[in-house]
Amino acid sequence: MKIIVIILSAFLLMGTSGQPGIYATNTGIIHFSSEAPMELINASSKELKGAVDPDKRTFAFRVRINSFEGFNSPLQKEHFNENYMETEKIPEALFSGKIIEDVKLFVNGVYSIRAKGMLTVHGVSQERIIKSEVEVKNGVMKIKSKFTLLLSDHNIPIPRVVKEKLANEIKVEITAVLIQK
Amino acid sequence: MRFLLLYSALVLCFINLSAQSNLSLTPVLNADAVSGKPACLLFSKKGMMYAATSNGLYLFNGISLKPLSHKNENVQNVSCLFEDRNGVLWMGCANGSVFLFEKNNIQEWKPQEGLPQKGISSIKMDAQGQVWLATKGEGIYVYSNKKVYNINTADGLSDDYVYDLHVTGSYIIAATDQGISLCKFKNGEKEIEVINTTQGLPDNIVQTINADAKQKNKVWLGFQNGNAGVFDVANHTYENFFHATEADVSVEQILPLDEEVWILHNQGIISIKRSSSSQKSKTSTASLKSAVKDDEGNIWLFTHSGLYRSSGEQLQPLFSIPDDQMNYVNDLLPDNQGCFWLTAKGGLRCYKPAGGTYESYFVPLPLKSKSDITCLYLDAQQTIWIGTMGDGVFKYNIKSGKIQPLFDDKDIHKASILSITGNAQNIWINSLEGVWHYNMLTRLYEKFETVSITGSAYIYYVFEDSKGNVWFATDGKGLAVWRNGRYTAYREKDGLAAKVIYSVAEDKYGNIWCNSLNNGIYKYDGKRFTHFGKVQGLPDAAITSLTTDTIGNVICIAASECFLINAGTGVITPVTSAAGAGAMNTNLNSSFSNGAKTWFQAGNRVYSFQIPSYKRITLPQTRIVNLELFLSAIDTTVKTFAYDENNLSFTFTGFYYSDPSKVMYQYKLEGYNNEWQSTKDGYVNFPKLLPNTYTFRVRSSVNGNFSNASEAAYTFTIKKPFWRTWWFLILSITAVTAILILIIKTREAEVQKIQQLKTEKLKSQYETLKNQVNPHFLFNSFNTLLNVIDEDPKKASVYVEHLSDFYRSIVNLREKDVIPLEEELKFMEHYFFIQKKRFGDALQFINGISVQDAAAYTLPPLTLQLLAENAIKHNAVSKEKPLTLHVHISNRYLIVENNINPKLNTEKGEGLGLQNIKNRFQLIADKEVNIEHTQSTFIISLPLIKIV
Repeated sequence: MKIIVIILSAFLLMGTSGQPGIYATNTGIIHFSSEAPMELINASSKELKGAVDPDKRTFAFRVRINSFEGFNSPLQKEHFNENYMETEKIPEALFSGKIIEDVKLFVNGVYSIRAKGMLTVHGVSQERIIKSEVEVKNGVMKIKSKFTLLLSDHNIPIPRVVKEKLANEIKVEITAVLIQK
Repeated sequence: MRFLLLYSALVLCFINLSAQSNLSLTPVLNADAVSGKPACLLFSKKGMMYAATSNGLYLFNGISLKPLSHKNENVQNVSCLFEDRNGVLWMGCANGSVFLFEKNNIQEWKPQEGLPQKGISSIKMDAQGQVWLATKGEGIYVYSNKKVYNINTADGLSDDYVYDLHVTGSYIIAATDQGISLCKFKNGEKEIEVINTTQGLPDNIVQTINADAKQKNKVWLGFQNGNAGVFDVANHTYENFFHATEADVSVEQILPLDEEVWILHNQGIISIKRSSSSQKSKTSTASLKSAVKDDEGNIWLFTHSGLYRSSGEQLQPLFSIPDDQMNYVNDLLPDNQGCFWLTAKGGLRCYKPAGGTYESYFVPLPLKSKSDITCLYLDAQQTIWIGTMGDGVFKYNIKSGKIQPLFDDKDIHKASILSITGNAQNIWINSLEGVWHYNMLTRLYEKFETVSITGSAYIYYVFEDSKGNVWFATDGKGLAVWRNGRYTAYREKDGLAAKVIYSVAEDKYGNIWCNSLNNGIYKYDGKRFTHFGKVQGLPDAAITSLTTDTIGNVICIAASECFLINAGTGVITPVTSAAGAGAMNTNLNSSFSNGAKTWFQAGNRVYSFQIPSYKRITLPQTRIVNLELFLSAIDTTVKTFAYDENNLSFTFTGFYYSDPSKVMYQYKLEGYNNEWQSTKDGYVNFPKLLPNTYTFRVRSSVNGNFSNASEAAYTFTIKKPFWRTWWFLILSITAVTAILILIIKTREAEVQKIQQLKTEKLKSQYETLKNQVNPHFLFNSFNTLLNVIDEDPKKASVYVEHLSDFYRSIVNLREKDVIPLEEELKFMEHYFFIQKKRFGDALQFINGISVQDAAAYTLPPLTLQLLAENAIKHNAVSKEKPLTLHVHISNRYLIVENNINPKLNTEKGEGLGLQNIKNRFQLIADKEVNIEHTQSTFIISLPLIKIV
């Protein structure tokens, strides 16, 4: 928790005095899809905020739930926020932790790493290991990652009436470009 | 005085036996036979051994390594093996990848979280089904509910480099570089407790954790600094057991057995007795990689120089006897202090355990002559009774060292003693001079009368069983028993086909066993004798001694090996002859058993034999290893084959790791040949099998006796080609029958039709004939002729021409079946000419048929004529009421119409003519004739036959 606070508050101070070497972004893309027998739902947010400390190999990401766009209808977006994610109560989803591999992310290169941390969605935290492809080139870090999220893991129940329209297994894809400060 | 002499004569010479390794290992596979660098071994619950090397996974069948992962090149450098509770084999590799082996298939484990990047040292599954993977540098991964979690130093793990894992009831113990961690993982919650040097461990680098079947709540820990000890799982305390004295010894693995604990370290193996940790034996091996216990009681070691086997606790050589003394060893006796007393020349030799080997010292006996010392017996007061050939019996008290000859009976002191046996109450001394009985309570001797039953035959052995009956094993007179004051002798008539019996023993069930000269072993259950010979699987008929244990086994020691007979089932199993190849050269009756362990002398060594508690398999386990159809492998779940898939091969193995070269097989293919075929090959091929249901059975044995053998079977069916199936045959037969019936019926119908046609033709002929012979017609015709002659003679000749043509036509046409319509019409012309002459204009004939039509159709002859006749017959023909006959064709029907002029007096007709026409048309044209009868008109429709 402390790591998140330090990194993000440093960043939120309009980047005036961030720790040297930290890669950060405010415009990462996070996209999720639910593939159910009767319906396909897709939505993305272009406001994924994240930071990676290459020295300590730690990271922190967050996204506002109501920044997701692209549902099949405005009503669906409303249900998403009000009924399922309860965005008024829990406005953000978070993922923060440490990178397992002993990689030197301040050196240019392509790395396949595993991020181990706590993924908090709908207020429920789950320890996850998420595999990511990281490309570092001249102070720019591109992160691509794909993983699956189970709604049941995060206390998001699916009502019986929409059983065929909403999948418990949500596929999430992240593409983010972080700039070194 | 004598005793002083004796004492001084007691030369105590300590002979240090050369420090040869007591731990004997038999090489099974040398380094060349192992592909790649040896890594680990696993003995699966199904009784098969798997070996992993740097080149992949192999199945060891006792003789060679069979590659299992050759199709998957990624399986390299397997660093650990684990069999989970579902029988799936997990393989962890040095590069972090994980493979699963199940049902002959290898699959890569690919969780979505990715794989470790460091090598995997151990894999285990806990009671909840979660899989724990220990890595060398990334801590522990837990696979639970299809997700992979990680436990490392950030979560409290003692160190990220984990050597080993162990599952206990409450948590998982991880051995790391910084002590051990007791971990719990449930619902994502981690709980870790660390135990290291501060809590009493001798070292922080814990390299191995091993379970102990004898102490369920304790585990053995092996340390890098050469220590090994026991950790109590319940109260978290540690007790050290072993500390290496040499330098640079690090403990790699610990194998706790029944009475010993084997500590495998980087330079060799040390086996330590649990009861007294001072008793050790050791051996050096080149970099040991892995060691496992199999279910047959063997211990397998995988090292850089190959695969080795040790019979472990089953058969252990204890010490060697110097060659010059070997011939004098006639009996051996362990005492209660772990020493072994052996008969020697002129006295006894005691072998005493000392620091890993045995030291021996000699106790001389005051013998008057150079008699052999033949037998030993230890009584309850720690006194050894020593029998000699010619000097009687001596008593030697171990504690005091006092030797005393038995002089109580003057006959004994010169006797040649053959055996001394006894129990708490009685001691039986058996000599060439007779049998003496000594009562331990009254301390009285008495000579026992045996001549009445044995005559002059020698008695080799006297044995008192648990019921107090005394058995005598004689040379030449079979077996005799003294029961309730009376003797009973057993000879051939009772089922005992041996005259020379060497010794008698009693098993745990109360049966009496005896062994004979070259005749095997007999068991007497109180009623009859059962023989155990070569047929039952006795490997060697010359058995030198017989003892029993408390589990229910009879241990037989023969000249070349020793084996067991299970007293309950009668199953004979060989004991591993790990002592070394070649004859064991055992001596008559030179063995001793205390019920749990048996000791015997063979050649120049003394062995101890016991059945370890972890020995579950005594017979080869038969398995069908491979099934091939036309030389390509298929899975045994396939049970049905098409008729042309008829070439099947079976590869089978009787897994018997103790002595795989002895395994022989019997197989049979029920449905092909119901007799068992013997083979030593593990392969049989059946080409060109006929369609049938078959069961392939195979069983294996090591001694030729298959009555209790483990059997593997496979049932399959080769389907008949569809043209041989019953339903097809029935269908074919039915079809053929149906066709035949159809043919016959059609023929019948045809014949009938022809018959009918003939009949009708005849009828019509008859009718026509009748009509033509009809006097009326002729009469009328001649009357008309008369008139015409008067009128006009020329017309008359025309008239006669027509009349003659008419009759000629009848002659020509009447026999035909059908005639062309034009001919019939021509015929009608004649007829009408004649009739018109008679009736004049009162009769009209209108022919509405065109010439083409007339040429196109046929019909039965004289039809129209008959109809015309009928019309004239049934109607009035006069100027006032003229009769008109009209013919025309409509829709291939010839329509014959006439108006109806009812007559005043009707001429009777029988209607046969019309019926005849109907019939004929039915037969010829196969169509019906329609008759329409209105008030004014009579219409008849005749179906015509078109000329083809």
